[in-house]
Amino acid sequence: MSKTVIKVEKIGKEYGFGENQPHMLLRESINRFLTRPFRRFFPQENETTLQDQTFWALKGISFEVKAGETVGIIGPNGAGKSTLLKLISRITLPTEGHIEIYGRVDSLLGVGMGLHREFTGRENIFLMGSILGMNWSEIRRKLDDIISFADVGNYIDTPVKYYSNGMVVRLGFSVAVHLDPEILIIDEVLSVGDAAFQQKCFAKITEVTSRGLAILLVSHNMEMVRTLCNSAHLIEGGRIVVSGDVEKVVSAYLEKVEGESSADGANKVTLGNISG
Amino acid sequence: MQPDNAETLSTSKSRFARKMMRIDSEPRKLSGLFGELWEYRNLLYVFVWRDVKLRYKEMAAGVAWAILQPLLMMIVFSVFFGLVMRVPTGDIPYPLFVYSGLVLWQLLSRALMQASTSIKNNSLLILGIYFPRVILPLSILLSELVDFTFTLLVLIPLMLYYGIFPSSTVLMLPVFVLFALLASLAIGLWFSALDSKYRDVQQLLPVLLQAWFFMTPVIYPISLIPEGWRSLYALNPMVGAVEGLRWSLLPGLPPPDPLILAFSGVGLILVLVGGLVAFNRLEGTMADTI
Repeated sequence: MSKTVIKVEKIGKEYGFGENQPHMLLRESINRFLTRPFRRFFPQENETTLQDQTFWALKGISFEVKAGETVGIIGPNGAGKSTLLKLISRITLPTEGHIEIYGRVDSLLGVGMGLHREFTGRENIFLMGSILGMNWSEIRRKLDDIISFADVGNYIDTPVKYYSNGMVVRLGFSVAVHLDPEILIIDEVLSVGDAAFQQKCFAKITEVTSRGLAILLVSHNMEMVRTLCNSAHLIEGGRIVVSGDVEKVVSAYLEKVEGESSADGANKVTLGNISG
Repeated sequence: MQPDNAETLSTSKSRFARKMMRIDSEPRKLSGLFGELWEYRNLLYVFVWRDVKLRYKEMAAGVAWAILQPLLMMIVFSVFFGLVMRVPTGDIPYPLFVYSGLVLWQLLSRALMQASTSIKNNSLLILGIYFPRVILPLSILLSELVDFTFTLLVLIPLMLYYGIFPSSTVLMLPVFVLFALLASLAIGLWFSALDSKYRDVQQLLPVLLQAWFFMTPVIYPISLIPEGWRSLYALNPMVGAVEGLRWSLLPGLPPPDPLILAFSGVGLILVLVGGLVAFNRLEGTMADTI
């Protein structure tokens, strides 16, 4: 049996509306701190309820990923898929539980793909290489392969902020698969590329997983999940509801979606996209 | 599925994450921060290298930009505090006195202004991939050292003009530059961490910098501070840094009072440890609030 590279143990992530709300004002925080001793004499109901409200984006998630495996994470929007990938990528810390990681992780998340928008393509290759702990000569050795796979032509010395979405994905993916991480975390991004690039990616993914790279993939494209993944987890409301064989999990998800769309005709359009 | 190949992967050398890494709700220990910084030293280098490259793409413009502000400030302060108010600076001509303080102050204020926004300015990168976030403010500090070197070099013609030549005390200069750097890092950590969480912190910084400027002996000598207040005054780490830098550069000045240096050292350690702890605590969930 292959060795485990990711072990997720009962993790949960809680978001609050109070202290952890984005764009807080420092003066509000100070004010709240200074008035705390007096607050109980003047209870203000609406204030305390808003501050104390929290929700669990993820709760009680446990699973393992082994070397060479590609594991799909599927589920409706807002189910907690992206939060899960952020936790495994160490971008934010969980509220409870723990994750064990054996190996270097590279993450392709969201539109940024871990690339620096102000840096040129070439500078980004060095940036990502350094984040993955490579030294200069190792990065230089791979430079040509990365650039030719990314197929961005002369744009390699242009800041990434001038790239099209497709180019960003091509560069990000090329950097990630060529820098030899042991774990690759991909959030949806491959759907952005055109059909030819997707084929190229699929071939590359098969190649690197056969060498032992483990992939964790979030996608709404069920065809992609069926093609690439060995197993999958269906997440709903921050919990794993079905997991195991990829066919079983995908059909469980499609059944759920169909059930909802027959109840609400407006969702049919989305279904077309997902199963296509 | 392919155990043999998995083994070959793990033989690739010079990588750091071979050992198991555990992620849980606890922020990492402060000691772990230094270890990680060492592992990611190449990344620090990439940030500094790129920043310096951009700034000095046009060498002349880069240098002019670096020295313009302290030179203009020197002229303004020399007119008002040197000529008009006649601030006593002993044997040292006022322009030289004020410029030697300004170079260090410029290092601090520039580094601080930029470091304080470094987390928010790189929010896409922070949301995209993990690396020790402290590298962002730290890299700004190091690239500011290049500007600092140019502003310092301006002192040479200035000293020649006044016929003042440095003595062996100039060897102590790096110590006081390091002092100012660490002070900038300390406050930079505080502000960049708070800036990632609160959106009104940026408005505080200019006010703080202005107050701090007047609490540091840049435009006036420390002898104007009443003796009984000097220890308290010296808790500001920039007091020791500016006093020490002036002494190391300009011969004829008495060595700085050891008590002043000691108090500044204590102040520095307090803000630095506080800044590191605060930054380390907020780092784990910075991505949730930026």
